[in-house]
Formats: sequence, structure tokens, C-alpha cells
Amino acid sequence: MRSPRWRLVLFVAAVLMVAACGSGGEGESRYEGLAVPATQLRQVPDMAFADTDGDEVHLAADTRGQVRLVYQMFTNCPDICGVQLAQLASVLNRPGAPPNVAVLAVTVDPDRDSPEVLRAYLDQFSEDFVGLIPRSEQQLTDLQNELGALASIKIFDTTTTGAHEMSGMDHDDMSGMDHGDVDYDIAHDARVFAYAPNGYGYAQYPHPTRQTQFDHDLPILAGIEPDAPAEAGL
Amino acid sequence: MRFWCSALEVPWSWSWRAYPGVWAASLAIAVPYLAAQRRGRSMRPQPPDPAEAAAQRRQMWFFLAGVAAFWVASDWPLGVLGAGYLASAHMAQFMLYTLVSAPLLVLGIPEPMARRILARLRLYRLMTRLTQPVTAGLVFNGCLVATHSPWAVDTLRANQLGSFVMDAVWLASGVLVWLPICSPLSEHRLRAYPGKMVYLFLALGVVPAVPAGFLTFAGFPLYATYELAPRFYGLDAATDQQMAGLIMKLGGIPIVWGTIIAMMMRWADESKTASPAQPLSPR
Repeated sequence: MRSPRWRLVLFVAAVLMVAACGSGGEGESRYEGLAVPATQLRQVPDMAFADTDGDEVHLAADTRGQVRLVYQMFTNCPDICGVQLAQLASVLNRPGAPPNVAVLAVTVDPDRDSPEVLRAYLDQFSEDFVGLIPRSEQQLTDLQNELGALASIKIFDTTTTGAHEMSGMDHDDMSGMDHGDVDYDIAHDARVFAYAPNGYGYAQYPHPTRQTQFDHDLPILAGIEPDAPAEAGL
Repeated sequence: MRFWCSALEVPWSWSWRAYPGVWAASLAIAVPYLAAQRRGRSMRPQPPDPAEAAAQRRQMWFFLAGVAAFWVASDWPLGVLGAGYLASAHMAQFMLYTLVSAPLLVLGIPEPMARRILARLRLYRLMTRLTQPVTAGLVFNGCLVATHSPWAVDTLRANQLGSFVMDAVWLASGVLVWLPICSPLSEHRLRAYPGKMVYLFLALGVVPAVPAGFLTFAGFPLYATYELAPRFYGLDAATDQQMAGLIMKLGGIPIVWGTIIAMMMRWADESKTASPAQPLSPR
């Protein structure tokens, strides 16, 4: 049986973590999402992934001058991934939405999310969403470290496989298993990490984030010049 | 197992779910009614004439149809969809409660039964006040506006008790708004057809258009419950909300205008009967 329990625990932890970081008493944030404090600003990861056409996409270089919304997802996600992607699609399809926004959807389930599967899933929301597939579990872990995201964890269905629940195990511990034959869920960090055109990640959007919040923040992020200093977006 | 339909944070599935509270509520409406009907029949000294018996049967079928509409609106799948997935299903529920179930229930109650209930519960004076057209219209539309506010929907639909309260308010306000038209007690009904038609148009045709307009033309989804729910076959929240607005605005037209037209025809018939044509006098 798929259980959203671990995913829920991770979401709550992520929300609390960012909320705690953001409550530094530095006054009202200009963002309706979770504002990242100045001391914890990160730049968009300088990493390359294969997209759904098989081409290499550099997160930083190939999207220069754009707002990058980096979102970790997987196509078998039973609930939140679809909601977050639908929210982004609705906001970006609205008249007046900033044109320089790239949604970079990175799958945390490269074993099952082939380029075709990922493309078909994203096309349900928007054909403009860029689907990215990590080359290895190590690359996924590196991305999560760069984002400051919680690690994704596979949770195996013990009722059908007889396997023990493997939450908390390292990715390496599961190497050698044929994941294609096993039903599993993935607990992952469901925040949308938003990077302004100057490369700095000023805001994050956990589930649930309303469309009005995205709609408020995206023009602010999109208006930051590519060569603006880090302080410009604070 | 859950008592009443409320928002679920799991993807929609066509797997059937049991909501025993809905069954219990349906039975709580139907069983006492049938028992009272049976008792009423057994207490009669002689069987009713065929016309009266047919009218009684018709009333019973009206009532049972009202209970069936209540059950359809409250139970899986419509109840679940309306409680946590689709604003349009939420609105379809509202229309079923107030425009289908409520008038059928009212039409199904015989006058002696209504008098007995009001006397036993000491509600006669209160109902006399509430069934004043202005009061009934204001209470119904107040409930309509309040229960469609984002705060109310997001708060009440999140839990079973709140969801039950919302459904109960809809049914009760629906019953109230129809009483000046078709109450079993003649003193609670509007007497003149023009008054009935104007009342129906104002109470059920005009005011609901305001929240319907908000839903249809809002820039963003108003209800977090439906905006953040797992998507139902990819239907986006904005389109779903527009559909809800259209259902609210247009869904009542066949019933409200159908009733108004039926009343006009009856009024015309009664006018003819009351004033038979005068024979033409020879010139």
C-alpha cells in the first residue's frame, strides 16, 4: 500500500526548516512564498541533465536571464507533484504572466521515468515544462545538496514484495535491486525552488502554495536583472 | 470508514467508499415519514376515495424522490467529489439539495402530518414567522452567500462534521425557501400567483447570480480546497470554478422558470374557471 506518510513528514520538516530560517525578524518579506534569508542564499546549481529529447541542459547556462523554477517530481506521484505542476501551469498560462520563466522538472525516479514517460506526463500540464533526468542517483543526490533540498527516499510496498520498509536507507543500499518490478513510492522534497535571472534562489514554494502567491512573486523575480547583485532580490 | 463526505487529500478514485452517516441521515428522514403515513392510514375509519388515495400516493412518491435526491447529493461519488475535489460538483450538490430534494420533500408532506410535527415540536409560531416571504428569501440567500464564502468552504469541507453541517444548512434553507410556494399549510403559502412568481424569481433567480458571477469571473480559484486538491482527470481549478459559477447561474433556470410557467398556466386556468365566458348579447 502506498503511504503518503513519509512524504508528509518530509514536507512538514521542510516547511518548518525554511520557516525557521526565514523568521529572522528582518521585516516583512517581499515574497508571498517562503523567502530565503540573505545568509542562506544559494545560486542555481551548475549542473547538466538530459532532457526528454536526450539533449543536455545546463541548469545555469542554458536558462540564463530566466526565472528558474526547479521542481523535483516523479510521474507515479499519487498526489502533490500533479497539484504543484498544475498550479504552475495555470499561473504561467495566464495573460500577463512573465515570459522569462522556465519550469525545470527533475525526476527523482529515473528508473521508471523514461524520457517518453516523463514527457507525456509533463505535457498534461504544459509542453513548455522542461523534463530533466539525472544520469545517476549520485547526480540526484548532488542536485539535492546544491538546492538545499531534503533527500528523496524510496519506500517499498512491503505488502506485495515482502521486502522490509527501506525508508532512510542510502541509495547505494538499494543498488542491484530491479526497481522496475517492485512497487514503491518516493518521499521527496516538494518545494519549488525559485531562482531569479541573476541566479540567486530568493524564494521557495512548498505544497500547498496558492496560485495567487505564485502570481504575486513571479513578476518580482522576473524583474531582477541578470547581472544584478544578490541584494537586489532580498 | 468515514461518517460523512469531507475533503480527502488522496487522488480521486472510482473505488466505492462507504459513508454510513449519509445512509443514516436518509433513513432518519424516510423511516419516520413512512411510519407516520402507515399510522395515519390505520387510524382512518374508512379508506379514502380513489382520488384522495392517488393524491396520497403521489405525495409519498414526491417525498421518497426528495430523499433519493438528498442521498445522491450526499453520498459517493457526488458527495466526495463535491467535498474535496471539484467546485462544480460542490455546486451540483447545492442545486440538488435546494432545487430538487427540498421542494420534493415539502410537496411530499401531508397537511395533517405537518400540523402534528409543528405542534409536537412547538414550532408553529416560529415557522409562521420564517415562512414570511421576505424572511424566507433573506434566510435562504444569507445561507447561500455564507456557505459559498471561501472561508466557510475551506473550513467546513475540511472535516466531516463541518461538511455535514454545510449540507444540513443547504437542505434546511432549501426547504424554507420553498415553503411560501408549496407549504402543506395553506396559511404559510403565498396566496396570489403573481406574488408567488415574483418571490420565486427574486429568491431563487436573482440573488444566486451574484456569487455565480464571482465564481465565473474571478481571476483566481477562490477555494483552496478545490485549488489544491489532486486533479480530477486533469481539469484545472480555474475551469472547474467557472463551471461551478455556470451551474449556479444556469442550473436553476429550468426549475425556477419551469415552476413559474406552470404557475402561470394554472393561474390562467383558474381565472377561466372563476369567470366563465359571458354569452354574447345579440345586437
